Amino acid sequence: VIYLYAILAAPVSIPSLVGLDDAPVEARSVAGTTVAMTEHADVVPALDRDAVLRHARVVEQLAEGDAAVLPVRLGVAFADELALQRALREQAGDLEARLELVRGCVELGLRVLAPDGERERGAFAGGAEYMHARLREESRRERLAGELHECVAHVARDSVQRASRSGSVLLDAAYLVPGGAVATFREEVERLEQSHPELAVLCTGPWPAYSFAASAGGATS
Amino acid sequence: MTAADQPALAEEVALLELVDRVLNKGVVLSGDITLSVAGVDLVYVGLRVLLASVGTLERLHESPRPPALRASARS
Repeated sequence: VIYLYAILAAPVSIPSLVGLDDAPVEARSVAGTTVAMTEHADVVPALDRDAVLRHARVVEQLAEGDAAVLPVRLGVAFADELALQRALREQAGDLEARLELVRGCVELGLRVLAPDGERERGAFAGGAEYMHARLREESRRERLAGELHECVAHVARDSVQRASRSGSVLLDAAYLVPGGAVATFREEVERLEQSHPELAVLCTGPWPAYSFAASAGGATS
Repeated sequence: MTAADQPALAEEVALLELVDRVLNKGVVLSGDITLSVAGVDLVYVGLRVLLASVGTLERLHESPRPPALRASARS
C-alpha cells in the first residue's frame, strides 16, 4: 500500500522524515508528478489520532523547505504504483497549476465570531415585522463579514470562505499569503481587532496550504 | 484578550484547526483506497464548541451576559 502526504514541485530531495507506522517518507516521481509517500507492506495504516499528527507533521516539515507543496488529505492510499499513476494522470494539469498557485505562500486562517446578543430581539407586532428585522440583521452581518474580509484580502494571493456562516460565526476563511507578507496580514488582523472590539477574532497559522490544494470543483466541500 | 494569551487554549485551538485541515482539506485523488478514520471524530466535533468557547471567554471579560452566547453557540 502506498500512502500519500503531499504533491511536490519537481523532483526534490526531501529531509529524512518518519511517516505513519514509523515508515520512512520517500519522494518518488510517478507519472511525471513527484509525491511524498510511505510504503506499507501489507497492513493498511490505522488512521487514529497519532496518524493525524504524523501526517500533519510530515506535510509541515515538507512545506518548511523552499519547494512548493500541496498537502494531500489524510487517508489517501493506493494499492500499488499503477493505481497511483492512473489517479495522478487524471489530475496532472490541475495539480501543476495548484503547485504554482501555492508556491512561496502559507495559509492563514481567520475566524470572526459575533455575539448573538446584538441580534434584534424582543416583541414584534407580527410575523412580517419579525421577518423584516431578521432580514435587516442578516444583511448587516453579511456587510460586516464583507468588510472584515476586505481588510485582509488585499494581502493575500487567494482566499476561500466557508459557505456556512451561522450562529455566532461571522467569517470563516482561509487566506493564501506570500511568506513575506505574513507580518502585514497579522497587522491587518490586529487593526481589525482594535476597530471591532465587540468581535472575537481568531487568526491561526501559518499552515501548509491545505485549503488551496484541491480545485474548487474537486472534492472539497 | 486573545487565544494567544492562554497557551493551553491556544494550543488546543491550533490542534483542532489542524485536524480540521487534515481531515477536510487537501488534495483528494480519485480511485484511491479510502482509509477509514477512527477515533478522530470526537476531536473534530469539538472544534465548534471550542471556538465558541474562545468567544465565550473573551465575552466573559467584557460583558456580564456570557451564558446566552455559550448556549446558542453550542446548539
